[in-house]
Amino acid sequence: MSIVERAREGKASLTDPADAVRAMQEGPTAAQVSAAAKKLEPRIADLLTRYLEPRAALLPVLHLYQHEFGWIPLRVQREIAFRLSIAPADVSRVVSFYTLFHSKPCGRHVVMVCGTLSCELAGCNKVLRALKDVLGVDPHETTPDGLFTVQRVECLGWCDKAPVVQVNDGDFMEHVTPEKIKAEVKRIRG
Amino acid sequence: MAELVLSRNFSLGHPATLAEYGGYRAWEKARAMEPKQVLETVKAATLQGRGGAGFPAGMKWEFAANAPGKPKFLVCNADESEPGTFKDVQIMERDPHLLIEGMACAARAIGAETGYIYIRGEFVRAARILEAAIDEAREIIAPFRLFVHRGAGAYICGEETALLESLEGKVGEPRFKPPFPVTHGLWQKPTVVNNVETLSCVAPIIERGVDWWKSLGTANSAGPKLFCVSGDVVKPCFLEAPMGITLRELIFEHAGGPKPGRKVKAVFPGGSSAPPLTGDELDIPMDFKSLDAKKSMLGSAGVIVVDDSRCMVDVARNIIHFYAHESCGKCTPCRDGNEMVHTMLRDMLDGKATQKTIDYFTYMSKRVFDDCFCALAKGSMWAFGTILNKWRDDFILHLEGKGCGRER
Ligand SMILES: Cc1cc2nc3c(=O)[nH]c(=O)nc-3n(C[C@H](O)[C@H](O)[C@H](O)COP(=O)(O)O)c2cc1C
Ligand code: SF4
Ligand code: FES
Repeated sequence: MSIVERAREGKASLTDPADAVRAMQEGPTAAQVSAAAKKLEPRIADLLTRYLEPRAALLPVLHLYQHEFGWIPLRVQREIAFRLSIAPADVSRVVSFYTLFHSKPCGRHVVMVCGTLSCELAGCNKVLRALKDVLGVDPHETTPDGLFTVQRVECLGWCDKAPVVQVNDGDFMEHVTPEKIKAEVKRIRG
Repeated sequence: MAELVLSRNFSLGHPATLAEYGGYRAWEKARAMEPKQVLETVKAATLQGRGGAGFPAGMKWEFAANAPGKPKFLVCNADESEPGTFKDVQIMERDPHLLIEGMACAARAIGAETGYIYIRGEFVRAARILEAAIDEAREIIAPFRLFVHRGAGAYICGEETALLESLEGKVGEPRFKPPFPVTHGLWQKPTVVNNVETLSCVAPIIERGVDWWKSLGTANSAGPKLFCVSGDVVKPCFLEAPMGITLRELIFEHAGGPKPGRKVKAVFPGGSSAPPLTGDELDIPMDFKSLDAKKSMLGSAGVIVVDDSRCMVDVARNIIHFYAHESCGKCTPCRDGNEMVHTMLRDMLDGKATQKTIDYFTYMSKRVFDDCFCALAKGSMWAFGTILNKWRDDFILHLEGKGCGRER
């Protein structure tokens, strides 16, 4: 039984943070996808006025849905394909091509550590080791509680402030040290 | 200190508002000119593309302006993903109107009604700032329509034809050229793709004229330029300087030189795709021609400094990992070649290499360079081949189970 169904029966509470994370990992129900589609429709309709062909709105629309659900489950891919009049397989291919789109559930907070040259020279590997210390996961793994996914990513375009880390859509963290990243994890955990 | 042109508003500490920017004076001027005149002005200024290849912007615009087919499009390449490069994001975050006004003028020159700024997905804040600035300027630049379009994490989408594929909602695989985007671009319509910095040069040129512009920089490479310096230096930095400033000045006067007790071992002068120079080659002027003559390139002008505490095999491992990860996978030499070289570099660092490995590296760097489909793998193998030739001693240290003894 999904978290949402269990919540309906009073066996789980979506206001409980742990359950909310679990619900995110399970992905939305058909009803939730329809509700999101309805909510996003004005923005999608506006996007469609910008391009000669509806398919061009695919990346922006994927960003909108990922913002809603944290990742892009198949059910959402099918909804998007339908709205933009393209094949679901085309949507899947795009989701898997771009590193910012997740076709599988990932942590609520995606911690992206830049590993390219300037950041490696400045010590990004120490930052990754510190994350392993506090979270127990290697790059591209998610913590069992579904809170964090750690990624080693390529140059974030902020190299004078190396090592650089970005958490989700947030501003870049600069000159990150093991202490700084541990403090950030603590802050997020609350 | 020369007058700042592209970064004149950077000291504000926040994105320059329309009022702080000073209004769209160049655009008013361009609007009173014939489109052809705007085009001729930029052509006469000999503005060269700042995205990597240095292609003359005026010529590109002329091809698109003369191409049959409507509507025409103007696309700003704000994918900025070349390792060591962080200049376009500075313009977008600190003086967005400089870019927007330049795009309005460029659109007039080529006859484009719609423009897109394709910005890499990670630049969330810059995208927000741009959208707010476009809102401010919407009435002024009308009927030109300008939209911000976010990418989603793929270096290859900086290659102009891959960018167009991506903008059309597809995976970012480069297209076969010719035909070029100027005739068959976005939705097969005439399209100009220019870098952020290139387009940001346009308003100053229109406003202050060709002679003034050409008085900046060198005879062969006109205008001011944004430079980035990162890596093993005391003070990694970002600055505007005339074309032709030497690499030594950038590293020693602006970036504080190497760390105490260290020497410069290698410098990538224009992102990691630009073959690195040695510590003895720093007196080179940073302009298109001088770097071409040194068998490297100005590229994105993202200078990455590596000091003598580093092993170049390890540096090669880092950059080849980048290209292997960012390969779009369309062609075998790049997709498999970068991956194989990366694996063998790792093996070498783990003490599992013989003379054969070095021969294989030599063979691969040439084969992949010759046979790949686009410039991604050309850049990767050009830089790798140069490392292999110039720092061969580092590779030899790793043969037969020996390590170089440096910390990794
Ligand atoms: C792999 C690859 C990545 C590139 N990345 C960028 C980029 O991030 N930004 C950019 O402006 N140009 C990039 N370019 C160059 C573009 O293809 C194109 O030449 C440029 O946008 C043209 O603009 P310009 O003439 O104003 O320089 C890249 C090229 C290649 C082959
Ligand atoms: S060289 Fe690499 S990036 Fe370019 S088309 Fe081939 S696989 Fe794609
Ligand atoms: S190398 Fe890490 S931000 Fe550029």
